[in-house]
Amino acid sequence: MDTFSGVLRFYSLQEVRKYLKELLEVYEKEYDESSNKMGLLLREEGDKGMEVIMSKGWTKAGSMFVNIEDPEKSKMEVFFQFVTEMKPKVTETEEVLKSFDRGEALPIPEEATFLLYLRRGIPERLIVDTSTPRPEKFSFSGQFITVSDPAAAGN
Amino acid sequence: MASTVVVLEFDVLVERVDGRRMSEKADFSTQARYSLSVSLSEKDWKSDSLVLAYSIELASQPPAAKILVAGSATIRGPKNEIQAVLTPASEKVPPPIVVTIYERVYGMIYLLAGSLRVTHPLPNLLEKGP
Repeated sequence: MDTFSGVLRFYSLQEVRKYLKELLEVYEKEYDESSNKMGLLLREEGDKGMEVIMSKGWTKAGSMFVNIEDPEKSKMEVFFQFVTEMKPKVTETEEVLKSFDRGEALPIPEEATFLLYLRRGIPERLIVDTSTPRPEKFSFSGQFITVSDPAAAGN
Repeated sequence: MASTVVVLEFDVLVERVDGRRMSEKADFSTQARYSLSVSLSEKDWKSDSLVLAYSIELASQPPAAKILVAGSATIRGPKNEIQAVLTPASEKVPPPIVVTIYERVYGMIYLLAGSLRVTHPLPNLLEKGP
């Protein structure tokens, strides 16, 4: 699960878009897998439904909660919480990607690089940075000589 | 005193091969000099690896054949060591990475020259051409 908060630098809008698409794919995959697991667990528990999700036996150990009494029910509770938290991540990242087109239409200088701020895994702000230059990419070209095999020429 | 030996890893992938016979008269006995046009461009540079796109085109003089080999080369290792193989020792010699790529694809070039029935170029790049 991606809960990264921080700033990432990109050197083109295409790179930003690519990152957002990949991020959305990761979230959608995690959401689908967890939803499927959740559905399977609920079906196994039959009619118990919501009652199962509120498990008992949580004990506070420091700043964390620990459950030794009922691993199956506590597993379901945690999965349910995870799925509930993933849904807005998928929705909001999808929204960011859709609105990205509007950002690309803005007059952005050619030499600009981009800083993307993510808060708890959700893209929140994009900075167009003209103060940091793009690093030069390596390139090389040259002309060289080799000669034929002298043995083949009878020398 | 123990010294640390830094070893770079090279992975050269051939993605395109083209060979053309330019003369009906040419054969294995025709002495020829091959000029090479080499180009490299950065595709992706991470903290411990660099991926380059390369292209090597050989043309024989007198004109008997043209051979093209192109693809990608990955160098893995410390950044300063990678930088070192991108830099030629002098203006007259190729950068070490060009030599490495040529050595790795030379087998393909040799087979092509044989199939085209023209003189084989030598496996070493001698010097910077005109």
